[in-house]
Amino acid sequence: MNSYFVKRTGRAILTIWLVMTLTFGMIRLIPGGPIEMLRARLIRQGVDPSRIDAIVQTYKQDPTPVYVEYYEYVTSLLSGNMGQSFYYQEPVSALIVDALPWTVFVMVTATILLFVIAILLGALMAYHEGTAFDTAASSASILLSSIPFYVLAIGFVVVLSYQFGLFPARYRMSPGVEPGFTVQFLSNAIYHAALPIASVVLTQAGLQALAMRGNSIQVLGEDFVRVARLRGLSDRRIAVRYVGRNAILPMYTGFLTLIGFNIGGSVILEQVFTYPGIGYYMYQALINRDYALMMGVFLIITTTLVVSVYIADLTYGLIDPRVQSGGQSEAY
Amino acid sequence: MSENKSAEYSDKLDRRKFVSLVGGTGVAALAGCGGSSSGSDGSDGANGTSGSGDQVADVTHVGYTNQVPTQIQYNPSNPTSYAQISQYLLFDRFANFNFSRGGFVPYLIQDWELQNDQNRFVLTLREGVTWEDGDSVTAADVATQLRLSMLSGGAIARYTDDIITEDEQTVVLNLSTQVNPRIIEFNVLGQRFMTQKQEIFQKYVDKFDGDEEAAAKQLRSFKYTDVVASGPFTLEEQANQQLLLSRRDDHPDSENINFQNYSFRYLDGNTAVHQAIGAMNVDSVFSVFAPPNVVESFSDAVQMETVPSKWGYGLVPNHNHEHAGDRAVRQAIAHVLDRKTIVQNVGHTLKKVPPIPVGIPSDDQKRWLEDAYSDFEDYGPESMQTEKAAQILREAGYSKQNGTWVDSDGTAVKLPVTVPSGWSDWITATQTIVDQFNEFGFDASVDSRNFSSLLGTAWPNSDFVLSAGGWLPGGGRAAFPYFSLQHQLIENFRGFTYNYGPAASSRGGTQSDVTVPSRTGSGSMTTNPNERLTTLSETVDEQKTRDIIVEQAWVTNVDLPMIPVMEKQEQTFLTTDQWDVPEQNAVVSQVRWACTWLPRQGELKYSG
Amino acid sequence: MVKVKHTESDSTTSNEFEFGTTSSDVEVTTSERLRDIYEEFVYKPGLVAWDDRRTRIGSIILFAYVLIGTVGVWLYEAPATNQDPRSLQPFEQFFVAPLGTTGSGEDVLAMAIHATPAMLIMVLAGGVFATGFAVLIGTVAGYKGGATDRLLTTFSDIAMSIPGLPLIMVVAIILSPENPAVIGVIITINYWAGLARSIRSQVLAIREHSYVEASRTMGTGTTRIIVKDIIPNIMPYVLVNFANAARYVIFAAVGLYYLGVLPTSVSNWGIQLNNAYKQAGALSGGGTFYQLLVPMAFIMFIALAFILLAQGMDRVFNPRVRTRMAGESKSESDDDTDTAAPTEVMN
Repeated sequence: MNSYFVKRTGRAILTIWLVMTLTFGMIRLIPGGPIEMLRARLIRQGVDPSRIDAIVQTYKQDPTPVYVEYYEYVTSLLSGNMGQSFYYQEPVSALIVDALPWTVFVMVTATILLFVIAILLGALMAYHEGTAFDTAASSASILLSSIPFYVLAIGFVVVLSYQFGLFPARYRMSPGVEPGFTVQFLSNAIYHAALPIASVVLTQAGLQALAMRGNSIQVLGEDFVRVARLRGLSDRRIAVRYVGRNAILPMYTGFLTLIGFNIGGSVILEQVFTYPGIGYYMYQALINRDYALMMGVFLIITTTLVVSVYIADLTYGLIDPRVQSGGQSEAY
Repeated sequence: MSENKSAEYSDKLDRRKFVSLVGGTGVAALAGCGGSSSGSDGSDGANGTSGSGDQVADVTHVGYTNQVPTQIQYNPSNPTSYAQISQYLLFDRFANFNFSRGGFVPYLIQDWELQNDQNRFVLTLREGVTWEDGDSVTAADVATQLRLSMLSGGAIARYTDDIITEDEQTVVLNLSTQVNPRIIEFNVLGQRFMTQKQEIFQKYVDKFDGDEEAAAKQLRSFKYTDVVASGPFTLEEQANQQLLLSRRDDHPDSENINFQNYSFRYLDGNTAVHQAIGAMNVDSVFSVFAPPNVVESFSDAVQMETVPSKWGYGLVPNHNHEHAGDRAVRQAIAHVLDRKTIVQNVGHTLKKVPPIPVGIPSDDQKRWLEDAYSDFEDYGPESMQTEKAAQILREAGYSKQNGTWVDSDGTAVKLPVTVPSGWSDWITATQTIVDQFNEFGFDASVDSRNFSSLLGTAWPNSDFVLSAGGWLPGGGRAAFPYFSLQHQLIENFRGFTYNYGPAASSRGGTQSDVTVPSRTGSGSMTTNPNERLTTLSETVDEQKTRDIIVEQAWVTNVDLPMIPVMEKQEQTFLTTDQWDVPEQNAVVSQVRWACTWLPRQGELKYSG
Repeated sequence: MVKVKHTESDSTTSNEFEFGTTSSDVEVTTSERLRDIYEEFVYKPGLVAWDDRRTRIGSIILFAYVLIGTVGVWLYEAPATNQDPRSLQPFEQFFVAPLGTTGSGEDVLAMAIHATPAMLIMVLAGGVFATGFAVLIGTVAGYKGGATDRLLTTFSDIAMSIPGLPLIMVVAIILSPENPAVIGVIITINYWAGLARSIRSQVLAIREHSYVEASRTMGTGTTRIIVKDIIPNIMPYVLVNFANAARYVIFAAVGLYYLGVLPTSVSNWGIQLNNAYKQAGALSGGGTFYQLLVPMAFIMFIALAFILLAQGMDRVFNPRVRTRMAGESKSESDDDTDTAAPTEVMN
């Protein structure tokens, strides 16, 4: 276990480093740089063309070879410095510290919620397999899953925000609300996050519920459940003790990876809701060619993904000893 | 300008009268600049100014900004997060360009004039203007701001030797060469807000004595947030979601303002703005993009004002291309384009049809071409003139085969139109154009590419046949055709290497002569646009100015170095449920921006 | 964004259900082999799949899209500016533009229809790339084991750890692809990784089976073992995931077009959404909601088709879900009778 832990940790770190290097190189391949985007922005602001040249000239730096830039980036990263955002003129770390909690709040809440709903609904469907309820719930699950979450999000914005004015269409909170542990702030933040969370939960819970249903039905057919039945244990006890646990177990890895995926998906979701989280900044950084910010967001999302898979791998082995993930096999 | 004004300006007891005189001065000063359509007394107000015992209501006029309020800074030499709207209230403008009049309305600078054989440009300040800390706004402040602009590479550096203050109210630019006064006017007065108070900014001027590059860098990176206002409002608060300004009572125009606060709410994106103004959650918005169906959905209490942006969508041909470089093809293209249909497809509230394709903005064409206007070819602004186009092409040796035009070698006329992807209005226009081309028999297609790769590589490297591009340079100064003709003929500022012969070498040209049919009668005319525009920039003679403009405009009309398609309009919305504003399209509203200019003029008042 | 269905994919397809055969060294002609492949990979699974109601509906919807993308495009006039009056509401002039027109007079339905072929190509390319590559990496890693396994697993781990959507966006901006097949591949540029991982773990189990060992001891080559013994075993699973990948391609592609990251030269439902949202002011109550609704419906139904196919196939190929509670197996539900079918067909 210990050597596996060390190896697994080493691989996680290696992965983060490789991804960072890869993205660093890739980002430099994007056509047009921050200077060109600055010029474009100034043009659109109607700044005097000759002044634009002067401004752009002063921003220009001597081109440094990519490997030097890379070396500088890695060294400053090791000292905790993620660089300066060219577009926002703020330290990248400050932007990310400001944005990340919001994205995590929305996406983690959504993912937990959707799994809770999926597990309950899936278990119910399995229990009532073949009934009208099962058919209806299965159909609804499938139908909802066929909507991309951002399409539902757009629908929400149009109908619930614009037509009926029930929910805010944008932002993390209302003007004038100060962050802090106050009822006003918390309720306001939840109010603003309601639609983003709902659009993820509603579109993703369905397939998970169907998976839970499948797992449960399978478990119900296993020998040990039959034995339990023969022993005269109550249905409730069987459902919770045996079926629930064994059916939920396979979904555990899926849960952690889905969080990672959803954080990546925040790029679209936060754009639809103008919700300034890391996905929102990712898009801004991309269209403004803000290399440092883009790197920062990539790094954060990558780390989240790697760490969640890492946790999944490590803990899954603990929960279900039969599985030795990442185990080696004899070479053929 | 009349001399007796200054005596009355100092008479602080009669401010009301003074205000109306300012309006009057503007009219008098600009009367020579051609007629304005909506009557010359627009600025004198429709509502009538009420008595001086006006009470100031404790209400807030809510405007909008699309910048994050906490990040806004006010150093005009620093392009990052520079304010986009609040500075219009916090600081006094040197002068305000009125699009309807085609000229500047004096404001902080009350008078400007070329003196002493045109080697001095003299600015006279309005009296009684103070900073909010109590200091007077003096010539030294104005000089500081102009010096910083000059030192950091502003256009005035090209012809200004130095800037001196003659007395508290007078600033003088000593000129090194003769310059067309209108150019100086636009360079000195256009879009300048009295921001850089000497007390705060002098140290940056001094730094330029040493390492200029370092000084420029320091000036450029200075974030000015703890501002000292010179305008009728002061900066109260920069919160997360809004900027709050409150009324000063010691500004000369304070009496025109009968409400206490002006806030700018942060709204991100057009739809957010549509929703806010549609629900009347804000009282005014500026420079927003609202298509016709959205405007129609607004209540009657929302009034739209449009001002020309003096830039817009045109087609930039690559003059090295075998077909796009052929004048006959360009003329055929201009005939084929149904500009009105294109404008209506994009949204008639957003764009305007240029009456004639020429290197002068739509609203200024008649003003500058005067009697010659009727000689110009309009290429059918509201229809596809396919007959004329076909005739021109046939005369030039083209023929139509199987529905497609081919040149004398049998090569089909293939016209991909390059457009930045994601610019939805431009893409709609391009699609319409491509459909019109294909209907006529050109082999056209939409070639949408990333904006930054266009700006970074495709445009500088002439990697296009026809590209969507701005046919005007934009901003108030484009109203003086020198700038727009320069943009089309010599040196467009978007960096299109379009290989037009007369253009500058940086744009692929050789500054060559161009020969076009004569405008009056038969024969032809050969001219060198570069030389003529240089002459234009240096002459102080009004008639010569006009002659050269007509002549070079004719070149652009016949030779079509760029093909104008539509001109963008800037939309401003005012609400009338609680606010008195001038009637729609009043001359006084034809500025950037009605929502911030009208309060100073006593034309936007709280009515309860 | 669109999740991989880990929960499902983690469950191993049981072995009682095997496509194909044990290895046979009998030489066959090419046409025979082709017929074999057809039998094994198309006909039999098709027959099985058809027996499930969901697969049937999914196939019908998908077939409808294929019709739209081939015949429909040919029958229905392509969208063009000013082909019809501007801003018609749906059904306002049914025979001119049944689902209305945009502000520039383009037929909304025509736009949606003519976006279909590119979308189908994208889906096919993305699906084939994702599943093909995943099968390659997963089977080789799982079967070979050892250093090869470590190398390939690390490779797919890295691919999996790059945030999918942001990565695709960056690559899309770098390449600004217009060819739908290329777009499909870009979208699945790291989608295969998760799939490869679970295929690997299945192969790990399969390779211990006696017949695989038999083949190996008989000296059969690795490639042959993988192709003849292993792939047929995981084929049902791969097919299910092909459908999932297809849905992912649709969601991601439309999303990228919506964000304006991909070149807008071609028509796409995402571009329609974007135009309706940003330009036509569908949000601001300009009465242009239908311009959102039409592309939304097109996206939903094709996604529905793939979900139904995936669900149905998963169910059919995966008999574990057959067993019922308390032994009181009521066979009246369609599903139960359907799922009995495969054994008959296959054995």
